[in-house]
Amino acid sequence: MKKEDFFETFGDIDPRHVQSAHARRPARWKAWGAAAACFALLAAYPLYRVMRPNPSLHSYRIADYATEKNRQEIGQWNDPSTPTETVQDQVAAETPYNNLMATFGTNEDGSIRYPDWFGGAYLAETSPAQLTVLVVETNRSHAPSQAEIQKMADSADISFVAATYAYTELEALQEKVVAKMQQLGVFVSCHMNVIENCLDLTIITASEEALAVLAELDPAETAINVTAMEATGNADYDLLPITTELPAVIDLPEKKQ
Amino acid sequence: MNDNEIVQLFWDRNQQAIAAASQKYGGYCASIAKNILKNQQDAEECVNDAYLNAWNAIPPHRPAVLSAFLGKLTRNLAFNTYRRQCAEKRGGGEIALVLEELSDFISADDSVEQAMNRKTLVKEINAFLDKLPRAKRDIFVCRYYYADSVAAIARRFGLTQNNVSVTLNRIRSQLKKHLTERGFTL
Repeated sequence: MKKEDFFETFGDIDPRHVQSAHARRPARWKAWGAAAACFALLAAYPLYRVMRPNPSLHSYRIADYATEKNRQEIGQWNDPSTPTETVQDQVAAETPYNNLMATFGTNEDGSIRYPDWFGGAYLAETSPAQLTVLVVETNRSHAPSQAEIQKMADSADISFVAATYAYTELEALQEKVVAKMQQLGVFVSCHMNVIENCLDLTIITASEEALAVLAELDPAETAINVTAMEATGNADYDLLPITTELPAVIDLPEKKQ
Repeated sequence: MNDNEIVQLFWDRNQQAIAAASQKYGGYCASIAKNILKNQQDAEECVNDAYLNAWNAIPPHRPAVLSAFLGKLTRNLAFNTYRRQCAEKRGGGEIALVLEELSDFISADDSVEQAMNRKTLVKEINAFLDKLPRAKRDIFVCRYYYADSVAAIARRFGLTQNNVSVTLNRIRSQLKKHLTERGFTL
């Protein structure tokens, strides 16, 4: 196969993936040809809303409970043969993390006072496990240098990744998202996904109302990964087919009388 | 105007359909064409051809997501133009670099024995993309669907250019492994 043929074939990928990537792209478009005059009329309108296919509704995916990946992940957590060396490595890598947290200080309520340059930290899946610190790009100018952060953590074995959102920013967003989704009666869970520097939100149904609220809270669609547990039944909104297999029913032994 | 309303204009053979589509998606289509074709005039012609193709295709098509439909038309037309220009020894845009990266894992062999079912290949590429974390998948699609530059992707995702290049290289290797394991010869 020629590389040109592959590029052409790649054009047939699932439109969901195309839309997801498109949501990340800036809307700094130039007007072209005959559309220039018409486009100028819309100059006052926020351009990113014009470019998004459904400007008022947040994108989402439907949970697929029975994928092989999910089965493997579940098996990994339940595997009693997890090597103890891995656990020991992780304990060792937590020390720099704890050292770093100690330098941040605490709020009045005892919670850690995360600085605005800090996007989060996690243990990378290396052996030995290595601490990775996220540094917010837009706040880099007043962030400590990498050498300073290593000193704070008392460890030179730290890697750095650029982040879009500060940890405190995501925490504040998480509070709003949880409150709104609970209000709408669709809330299931909302976790901080430090590795992807975003929130992982699960809701019962991706109703128009919920998606509209989420679009307002996260217009760039980069701060919240939304998963719905069931489809709405509307083909325009359900971008993913449901491929769930129900978990096997376990017959519990009848209680003896 | 939402997509359904614009598509209805096409179905009603209302000449406002193209104006409405270009108001909403003109810039989007232009960015796709410009990434593939270096020349502004060529890109503009490509976008206009995409509208004409859409006019001819709707009806009978009734796309649910108009951006995806117009984007795909524009991409295909732009790439066809690029291939024609290559044959005429004329330059292209970012696409030349994108294709160079793809040559890392695609052989130039075009023999009959290498022919593969395109639909099956797309299905396996989708299965691979489904398994990627969202950010990595978006980076990969921005590069190989939209042909966005590495610099633009780096700015957008808050990464260094080196980081993006390394990420793309790793995903290409993973994709090659995924396809090879499923019997595709690349």
